[in-house]
Amino acid sequence: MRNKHIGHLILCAAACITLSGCVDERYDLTNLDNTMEIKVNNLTLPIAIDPVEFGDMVDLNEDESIKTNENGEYYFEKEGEFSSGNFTLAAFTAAASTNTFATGGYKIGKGLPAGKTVSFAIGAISPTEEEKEKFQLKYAYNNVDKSIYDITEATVDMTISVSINLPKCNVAYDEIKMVMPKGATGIVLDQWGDPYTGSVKQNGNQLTFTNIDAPDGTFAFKFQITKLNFKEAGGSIVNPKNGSPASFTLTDNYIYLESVTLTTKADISTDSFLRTNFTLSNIRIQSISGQIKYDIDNFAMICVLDNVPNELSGNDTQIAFSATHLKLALKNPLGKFGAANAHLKIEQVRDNTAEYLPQSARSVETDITLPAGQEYTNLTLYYGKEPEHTNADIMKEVPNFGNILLGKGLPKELKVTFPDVLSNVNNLTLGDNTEYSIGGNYWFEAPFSLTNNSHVVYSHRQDNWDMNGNDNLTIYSMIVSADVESTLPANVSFKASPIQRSLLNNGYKGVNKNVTIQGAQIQNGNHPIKITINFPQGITISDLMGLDYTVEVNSDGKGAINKNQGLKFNNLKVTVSGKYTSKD
Amino acid sequence: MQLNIKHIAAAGAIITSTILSANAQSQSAYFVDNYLYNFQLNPAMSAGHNAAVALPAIGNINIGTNGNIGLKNFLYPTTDHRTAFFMNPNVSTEEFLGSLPNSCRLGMQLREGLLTVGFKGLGGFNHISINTVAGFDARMPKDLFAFLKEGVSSKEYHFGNVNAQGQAYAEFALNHSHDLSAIVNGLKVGASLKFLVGLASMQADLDKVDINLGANQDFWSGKTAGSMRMNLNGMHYNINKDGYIDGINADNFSPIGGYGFAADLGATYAIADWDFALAVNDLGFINWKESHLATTNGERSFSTEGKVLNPDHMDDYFDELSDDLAKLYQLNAAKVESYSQKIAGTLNASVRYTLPVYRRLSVGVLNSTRMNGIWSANTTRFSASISPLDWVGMSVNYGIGTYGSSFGWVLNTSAFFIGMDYMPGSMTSQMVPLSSNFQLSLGSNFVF
Repeated sequence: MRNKHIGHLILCAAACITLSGCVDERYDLTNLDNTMEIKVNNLTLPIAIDPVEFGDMVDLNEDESIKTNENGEYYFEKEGEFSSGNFTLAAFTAAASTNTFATGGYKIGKGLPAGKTVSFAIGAISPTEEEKEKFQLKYAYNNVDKSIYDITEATVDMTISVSINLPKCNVAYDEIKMVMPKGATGIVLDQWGDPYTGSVKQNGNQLTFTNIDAPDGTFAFKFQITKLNFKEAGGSIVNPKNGSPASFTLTDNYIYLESVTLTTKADISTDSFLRTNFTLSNIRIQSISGQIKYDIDNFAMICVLDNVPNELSGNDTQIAFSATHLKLALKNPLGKFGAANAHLKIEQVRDNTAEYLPQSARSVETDITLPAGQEYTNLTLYYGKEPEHTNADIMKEVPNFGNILLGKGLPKELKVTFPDVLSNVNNLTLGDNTEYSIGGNYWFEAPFSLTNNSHVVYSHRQDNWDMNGNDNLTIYSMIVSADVESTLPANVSFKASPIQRSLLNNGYKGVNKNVTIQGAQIQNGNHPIKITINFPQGITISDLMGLDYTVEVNSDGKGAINKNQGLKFNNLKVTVSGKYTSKD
Repeated sequence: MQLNIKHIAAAGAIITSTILSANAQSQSAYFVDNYLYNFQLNPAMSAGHNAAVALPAIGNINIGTNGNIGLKNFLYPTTDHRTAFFMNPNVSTEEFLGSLPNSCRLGMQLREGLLTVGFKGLGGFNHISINTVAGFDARMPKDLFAFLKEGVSSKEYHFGNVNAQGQAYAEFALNHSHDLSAIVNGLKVGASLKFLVGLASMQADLDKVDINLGANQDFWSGKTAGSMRMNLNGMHYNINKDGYIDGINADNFSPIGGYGFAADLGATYAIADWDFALAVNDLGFINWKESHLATTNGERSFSTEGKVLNPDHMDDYFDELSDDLAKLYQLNAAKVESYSQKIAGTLNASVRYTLPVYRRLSVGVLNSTRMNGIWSANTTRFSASISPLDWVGMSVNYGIGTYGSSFGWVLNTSAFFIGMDYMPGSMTSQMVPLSSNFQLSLGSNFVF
């Protein structure tokens, strides 16, 4: 009974509710449009911010390459070692093209009286071309160490054996004059190689023998050459740049019998002929004086610029350094043998393209002379203000040296090459297996001291305003005003462009270049600024994602960049009008 | 979880399903002859039966919602045949705000008769009834919605007067109506005495939310003041280390929170074809054994003045702001004590004219005023009633008042009745009323 009543009541109630109401089909809770819009009308945000200082922007770690000195000034520092591979300088031996030859016969019987001097002067009188060829010292060698660029003087091991015969005559020689090769310095030995016991005078390359012991008309001796002046001796080094072995030649030099004076007791046969035989040994070159050019497998010193804070090394950041200097303790392995002339080239190695600097300006070159007598030379290259406390042997100002860091982001590394180091050596021993290498240490320092015309450009993309692709953030206007107190040694300007999601396609960054937000320039001192952003009529920024903005700091040339320098925003006000729309 | 003013609204929503005061009794049946429950609107009225008994639990069910805002204020059809919320950009600010009253109110009422017996005795007619009564009301200012819709600007906002309250209790009522025609011809008087058993009640008041977003100053500031009272037996607030309320523990909840008394007084007077009636109902109170007051202890304030944003520690800055803002809504717990709460009284006044040519037809006017401070409401209802048979009566009516106008109707028989003071009107495709005003009364009884 009760259940029946309850059923009737429920039925009646449902019927009454249904019949008493009417359905408005325009309202459908299963087909809701969830688009919501929240508006902001000239809302001034209560923002007061701490002074923005370089020290806050650049958070340094101990292992990073940006440091501050005791004055709080920033500088970039990098140090390291470098070295080339080892090389040795080999001795070499050159052989004569003709090691034995003899003069033609000279008929003594032609009225040569005893006690008279007969001048032969084979070369000096009228040597035939054949004689000339035979009497010439001619050496060649095609496998000289390619590092040997030039030889002016060498310690050599070379022997010229000379034998003078006047057969069929019972004569003795009062005097014999021989001319040895030009530029050669040596000693006279007897024919067995023992010290010569006769009388001999050396005048330049002329040997004058007297008191000659020649019982059968034969006189023989050896001339051992220990030193050779290559320039006088007609020597030269040809060192091709294509990597082929260098060659050595010694030409246009002569040895000959200049004159013979017979004793008065000579018993001269009229059909006797005076004849001279020469035997030349190989030339073994043991040490040289001259020039050696280093060109060791394209040797380069690489200075890797790592451990730099992102704020400074990002590809959107351009930093200008001044008073940039590179200290090199450059090892000249042959320094103790003489001075060297070097040509240094320092260039940036980077992946990206520096928009602000042409390719040609990304490297600098200079010539330096490394002094003789020291293996290491402390060299400082700089531009602008001369660095202090460098203990440099050589201080050299290199124009535009700061360019080696300039560009968007820091270069990955600096490449320093020494393509042609020409070292002067004196008595450098060859062939003793001594290993040489080029190397040393480097210290690279680049203070953040802006000079006139230098500038810092910091670009950033703030594009996370819209975390949801269905949401829209639209800003009609934004006014930023403040009294800015600037302690930067620079003038600061700001410009930005809005990023719109609707422009994001095909990898395009979505930046609306038609709308540029230009900020007032902040100058050193205290100045009011006001940045007003009003999007022009007809341009809809309906899906704002963020800003692409650039802050440009142009130096006023008044000082260094200190970590305590920055901007203080007094009475900062940010007033915004816009709306936020959340779609289905 | 911290308990703060934000939770007041949440608590109100929870209590909505369990509590409340208010009178959901059918007004449409007021002038219908033989309607058994007139005595609950005026204790001097009785249906003229010899006896009556209601089916337990379903003898008198009254449920209603009312308010001066509804879904129609917040949902809008779009041109592409969808339904949008008021925050949709295609809904104009003028259209939305123009549809809202200055103070937006919503309420729910439930009154159910568990047991009702009527009989003659003591020279009059008597009713004994057991009922449950529940109600919830909330209001918030139009400015709050204007803040959302118009957009935030650098000016001052005042969002005070956000309130919610609810009660639930059971009443054991004894009613007696007595004809005094022997003294004054046509005069009847009556009274009901009620013993109330309180289940729970709450009241939340966000008295002040003043926000200054940079109007005539370079910083943002805010002030709040509010309180929440929970009358619930066996609960306590959790307190955090800072001394603020951090949650509610109701593990020891007891369903009987307090006791109270109330009285209804009424009189009717008939002269010629006219009937006049006046009643004052629910004059009484409930004394809650445990009343838990949470309050801001005056004003709490917030200001961004002097706060400095460190770009390197943005999170710290916003954390500090968030903490300061949270303090605006943190509440302190007061000492738990008993609390006497007045229940909402109702004043009903009516006049009826019976057509002499057909006395089964009458017209009348009922003015009902709910006297409950900020929750007060008034309705004037014009009715035409007819009882073509002794056991059948019906009425149609038109009402106008605090919650707008409405048409009502009722059908009453000797076995059951059903009627509505507020018909739902337009509804969504899913049969959800677009208006918040709805009232339904029905029940099954036996009269003798």
